[in-house]
Parts: sequence; C-alpha cells; structure tokens
Amino acid sequence: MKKSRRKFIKTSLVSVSGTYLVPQFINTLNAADLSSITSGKKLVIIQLAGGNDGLNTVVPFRNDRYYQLRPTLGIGKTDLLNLNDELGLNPGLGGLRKLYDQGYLSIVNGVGYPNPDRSHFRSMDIWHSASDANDYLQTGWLGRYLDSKCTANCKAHLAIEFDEQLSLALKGENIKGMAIKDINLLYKSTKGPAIRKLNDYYKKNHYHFVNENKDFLYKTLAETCSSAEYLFEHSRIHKSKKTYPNTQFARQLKKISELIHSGIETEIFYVSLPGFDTHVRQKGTQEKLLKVYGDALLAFVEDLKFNGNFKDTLILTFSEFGRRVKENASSGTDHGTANNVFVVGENLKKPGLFNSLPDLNHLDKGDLIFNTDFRNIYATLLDKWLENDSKKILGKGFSNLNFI
Amino acid sequence: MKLNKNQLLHLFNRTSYGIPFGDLKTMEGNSTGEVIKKLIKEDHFNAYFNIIPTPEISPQEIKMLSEVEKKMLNEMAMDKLQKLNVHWVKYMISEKSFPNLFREKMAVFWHGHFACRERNPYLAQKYLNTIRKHALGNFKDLLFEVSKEPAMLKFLNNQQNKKQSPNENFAREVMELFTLGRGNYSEEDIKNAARAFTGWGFNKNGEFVIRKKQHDESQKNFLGQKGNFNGDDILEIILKQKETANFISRKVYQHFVSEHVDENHLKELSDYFYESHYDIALLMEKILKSEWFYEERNKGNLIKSPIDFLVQFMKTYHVEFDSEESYLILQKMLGQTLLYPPNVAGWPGGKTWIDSSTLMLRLRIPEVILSSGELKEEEFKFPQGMKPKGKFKKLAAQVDWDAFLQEFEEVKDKDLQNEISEYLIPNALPKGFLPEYSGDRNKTFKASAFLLTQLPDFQLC
Repeated sequence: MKKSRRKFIKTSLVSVSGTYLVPQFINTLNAADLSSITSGKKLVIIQLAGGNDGLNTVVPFRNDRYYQLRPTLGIGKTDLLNLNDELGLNPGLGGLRKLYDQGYLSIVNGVGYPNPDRSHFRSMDIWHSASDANDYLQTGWLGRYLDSKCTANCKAHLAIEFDEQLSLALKGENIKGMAIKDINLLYKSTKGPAIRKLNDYYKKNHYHFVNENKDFLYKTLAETCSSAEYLFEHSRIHKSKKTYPNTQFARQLKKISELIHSGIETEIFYVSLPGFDTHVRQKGTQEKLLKVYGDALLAFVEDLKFNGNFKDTLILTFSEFGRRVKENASSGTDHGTANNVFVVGENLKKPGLFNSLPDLNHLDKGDLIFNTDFRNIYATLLDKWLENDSKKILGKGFSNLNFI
Repeated sequence: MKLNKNQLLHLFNRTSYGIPFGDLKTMEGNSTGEVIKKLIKEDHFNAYFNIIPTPEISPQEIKMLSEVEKKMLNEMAMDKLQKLNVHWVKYMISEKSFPNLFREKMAVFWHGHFACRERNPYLAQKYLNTIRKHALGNFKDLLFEVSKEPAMLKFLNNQQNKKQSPNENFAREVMELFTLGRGNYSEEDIKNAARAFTGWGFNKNGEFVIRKKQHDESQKNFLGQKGNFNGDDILEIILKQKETANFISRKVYQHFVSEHVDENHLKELSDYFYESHYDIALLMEKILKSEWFYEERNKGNLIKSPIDFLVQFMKTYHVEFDSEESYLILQKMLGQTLLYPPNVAGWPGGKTWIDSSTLMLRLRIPEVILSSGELKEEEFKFPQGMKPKGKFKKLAAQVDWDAFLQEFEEVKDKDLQNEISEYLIPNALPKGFLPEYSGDRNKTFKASAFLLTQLPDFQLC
C-alpha cells in the first residue's frame, strides 16, 4: 500500500511538471519544494455558521438560572447526554459523546473576544482574520500562516475549503487557499480549449510580465491548473470503505479523509455547516444540525483512525458567536457572544472539559462573558501543532493553552 | 492633448465601463478637453431611484406584529433590497450616456468608501441616492449627507451614542475610513468627537434628527481645538485638515489610476482638491487631463472589480440575463454584491478579488454565456440568505450578436481581428492566439470575441 502510494506520487510529479499551460518558472519549482514544505500535520477546521447556541450544546443542567432564562428551550436533564454531574451534551450529539468517552474531545468553554460584535459578517470576519473587534484586516489567520511558510513559491492547494467561495481565513497577502466545490469540475474547467491555446503559446515563450497584476493573474491561473490536476489525481488514489452518514457535510469529511490518506500535501481543510441562526423554533433545528455534525465527525475520526491518520490530524470546531442566554419570544435565541469550541484529536493533553462554563449569574447585558480569547486557541494551534510562530501571524503574542 | 484610440479606450474603461466601438471611432483625435466635456456635465441630478416609494413599517409597529407577519415582512424587505440591487446593476448595463455612467461608476466607488449595509430597503435606497447624487459633486456635501443618512447612523451604532453612554463607533469610522485615515488623530480625538455626535439619529420616517436631550453640550477638545462642538463642527474641522484631501485623493488615485501611487502626482492632486474645496468633478478632470494618466505603466494595470467585469462584459457583448436572480448570484459568487459590502471598510479590491475559484469563474462566465451554454444549478448554489423564492433553474442569457457585429460594420475583413482584440484587451496579445481569418466574417468575429474573454488580460482594465 505504502509503496504504491509513493510510486504514484512520483509518477504524478512527472505529470505535474508536464501540465498544460503551466509556465516554465512554476515547473522548475514544482519538483524542488514538494517534499520539504509539509509538516505532515493536518488541521481540519469546521465552522458552524450562523452562530451555534453553545448553551444548548453543552448544557449546565444543574443550574436553575439556565432553566429560568430558557423556560421553553431549556433541555431537561433526562434528555441530555450527560458528561458529568453538571453538564450534558445536546441529544443530537451522540457522535460527539462517543469521541468524548474515548478521550478524543476537549471542550473549551467561554471562548470569545473583547467588545464582541453581534453581526454575523463582522464577527465571522473577526474570527477569520483574528483581528481585534475594531480592526479591519484583509487577510486571514491561516492565509498569513501560508504566507509565512511559502516565501518564494507556494501552492494554493496547501489549504482547501469545500465551498464555492473562499473564506477570509484562508486568504493571505501573497497566497490564498483554494475554494473547491467539486474537484472533478474544477479539473474539467482547467481543460478548456482557450486555456490549452494559452499553454501552447507559453510553452514556447518564457514569460514574466512587467505589469504586476497581469503577472499575478497568469500566475494564479497556472497555479490553479497545476493544483487542480494535483487534487484531481490525489482524489482518485484512495476510496474510503467506511460508511458515512448520508449528508453533504459527511461527504465532505469523507473526501478529506480520502485526500489525507492519499498522501496529499494539503495541510488545512476548511468546511462549513450552515443553518445555526436559530431565531425561531430553535430546538428541533439545532438538534438536527448537531446530529449531522456529530455523526459525521464520529465517522470521520473512525475512518482516520482505521487508516492510521488520526494521530496527525486535529479538528477544530467553532462558530462566529454564541447566542443570548435568555430565549426570545419565538422559541429561539438571538445573537450573543462567548461560545464553546471543540478540539478533536488523538493525543490531547486535557481531554474532556478544558475549563468551566461562563457564569450564568454574571452576564454582560444578558450575554455570557468570555473567559478565553479565541486567539489563544489559534496561537496554540500555530505554535504547537503547525510549529510556526503565532506571534508573527497574529500580530501580537497570545499565550498557548494546554490542550495539545 | 489629442487622444488616440488606445488612450480613449483607457479613459472610458476607467470611467464609464467602456465605450461602444462606434463612439470610439468618432472621438478619435479629439482633445482631452473635448472628450471630458462629453464625460462630465454639470447637470441637476434627478435620476433618483424610486422603486421603494414609502418608508417601511416602524420598529414600534413591528413589535405589534405576530411572528409569522414579522417573517413575511423580513422576506419582503430582503426581496425589495435585492430588487434595488438589480435595478442599479441593470441601470448601469443599459445606460448609454457617458456622464451618467461616470457618475454611477463614481457612486460604486463611494459606496465602497462609505460602505454601509442596511436591511431596510427604503433607507438603503435613500443612502444610495445620496451617494449617487453627490458622486461627482462636492465631497463636503457627500460627507455631511452620508453621515446623516439613517442607514449609516444605524450601521455605525450612532442611535446608541448618547450623552450618558457615548458609543464611539461612528466617530471612529468617520475619521479612520471616511476622511483622515489612520495616524492623523488620537484616541482622545475619537472620544471627543463621539461626544459631539451624541444625539444624532433619525425618526420613523427615515429623517435625520438631533435629539437635544441626548446631546452632550459640554466642551470638547478635538484636533487641537477647544469648543462646544456639535457633529457639524467636527466634520468641518476634519475637512480643514489637509490630511483629509490627501487621504481621499490617494484612494481615488489607487482606484482610477494605479495601485502604485506616484507621490509627486498625488501631492499635486491633493493640493488641488483641497484648494477647490473638495470638488470631486475637478479632481477627476485633473486626473483625466494629466499626461501621466495615459502613460503605459498606468494602462491595463488594474484588476476589474466584479461589478466592472460584469457590467462592462454585458454592455460590450450586448448580453441580457433571463432572470433577475442571475445578476445577484454572479455578484455574490464573484465576491462583490452591491448594498452588501463585507464591512464598513468596504471591498479591499485589487488582488483580493482573485483567487482560484473566482478566476476560474471569471473565465467561465463568458464562456457559458457566449457559447449559449448553461451553468448548472449545482455549480451555482445560492448563497445563504439570498435564495429567491421560486426555483432557479439556470443562468440563461441572451446575446445580441447582431448589435455587436454591427458596431464593426465598417472594419475591413483583414483588420477585423486586430481591431477587436485591441478593443477588448488592454495589452498586446500572445502571437497566434486568435485563429486565422476563416473567410466567414461572422464566425471569425464570434470566435475571436469569445476567445479573448478567456485571456486573463480580459480581467484587466
């Protein structure tokens, strides 16, 4: 298995350097930096988009205040998947509970940032760019990570997102990750007649354009074609035998597992599960979504483990904000602040509950007060997992947390 | 200075989403003065959009509604907002007058500068009309009026800016993003300005009001001056700073000339803008009349924004979409939806427009439309919150090839490919990129016009 995989990569290298269109300077670099640049560690980021209600995800069932503020939405103790004497998981999270039981889950509570913004767009921006609440950055934290790694030439497919649009998180100054809806479609679109024609031309002519933006466009196109081919070929190497739930989200995780097992150099995988903006009739909606999340995640981890890839994969789950503690008049919740973050991995330093829930008796205008800055989590991932320099990437020092 | 075809193209690409080929021929050899007269006209603005004629229901009235009614109201509002967006885009595509197009192009620029998201469609329309009205007018009027737009006051939380509990958001962004730029004021200036803006708000009819009881009457220290300033005073003081003229001129230069600012040219522009008391039309005229604007290094060096790309492509190729949703989906997928800027800092622009997926999409859109193919639904999933009612089947469009061909009627067969490539692509073409003349004029024209969209150069302007 291993041998044939290596062999494939070798042959695919040859085909990469023979790629249509790809101009000379890219070709020469392709072979040179392929092996040196990856750390072998994979980071999977899952974004629960819309603002997941963390308080009904990890529920403090011993707290009267919780049931007072949530007379219709409060989940009763018997319905919860209890973690200990005080906390239980949402009934939809059976899958996550299994990971918890095996020591593969660390729950960080009360994660947020100073002066929280309750707009989806803005708060998502802040999480993606890792900026302060009153700062506007045009690059994302993982994009800057890519920048820092790739000084001369780097490939977009080092970070891929399964979406039609690329999130700010993956946009760097000099390099951006790739947003891909469907690897086959992307590959096909790089094989159009005109692009071939360009290739014929540039095969014959070395090029470098004085016009900076023109140079940038041609370079991006060449990189896209080369990455599309690389991903297309890797996506065909390994087909997972594991049964995943029949959801789009699960299919995306399955694809990630297959890609990881193909020996791909991609380090960052980004997926999003939308629909958490539960202003109305939250209970059923959220439970269903969390089930989609938890069940897919469990299958993913089991698959990774079976193939021996789990030890090198870390999975981070976040949402742009939590929701108000008090339920609204429509059996839903409005935009809030601090939230829980899940870290899933094989060798966690502190599995289970990393810290305690924010105090429900001590709120800021009805919202939870954060106790952990999300950038402490990012810093930990950057320094300890990706072995980079978080201070450079985040612009200032954030102390590491002890979860990995 | 007499303008040749290439220079005219450059001028109109930057100011009015291109120029019909016929007009290009007629204007060839005109002086900059003559051309600019056709581009900037001092007209009384009366092209207000009025597709949402009355204010929406007030917050007090909303409270009385049932949940179902509220949901319906939200959907209707989103619908209207999308209609407004499409109305604007279609207006730019179908409009023929150069002064009107230039104004709209400037308005899109100011929309990114005074970036604002507003869910109430009436207030969004009001804000939009204000930036359109002053787009080529006076920056002072623009600043004063936009700052008093309910949409902006709401967006920047000034309704919560009260004497007892000042909210600094509005004051901060006015200085950081709208006028002075970072580094030209202190945190203390923000605090004091915020106090001066206390009480600025709006009533249920969407009219600006000053709530006297919430206004802080005490003394403020602002940019070295002391006084019992109100919001107007603060804006006046800000405009007295040369940094404001510099900040705005720089942004205009980067948007219309080059991302690489020539500091000598900028100084000249910025002084001129300041001395003209912030006359935007004069500033633009100065740029367009300068020789450096037409230097090779400033041509074809900007990446078209999604709106530039979409509007200019549809104008040039005489394209019309069958459904209104198509206009919205493409904006969203390309990364620039009018009335939905990412945040108060607007669209960062330039290289940030381009990543693997947006570049492939930009190459694919003309391909699909011009080869009368259809983009399948699974490739064009609706972004969250923008899904229209009814089922969206495909991105179908009509291309009026005859109209496009007719513009080139007088071009000889042997010159056809040369003319069309010079017309569509700002830079020299790879040799042999276009096929040999096939003997069939229409076929050659279509094949060339199509192939040229596939060049990355088509994304430049």
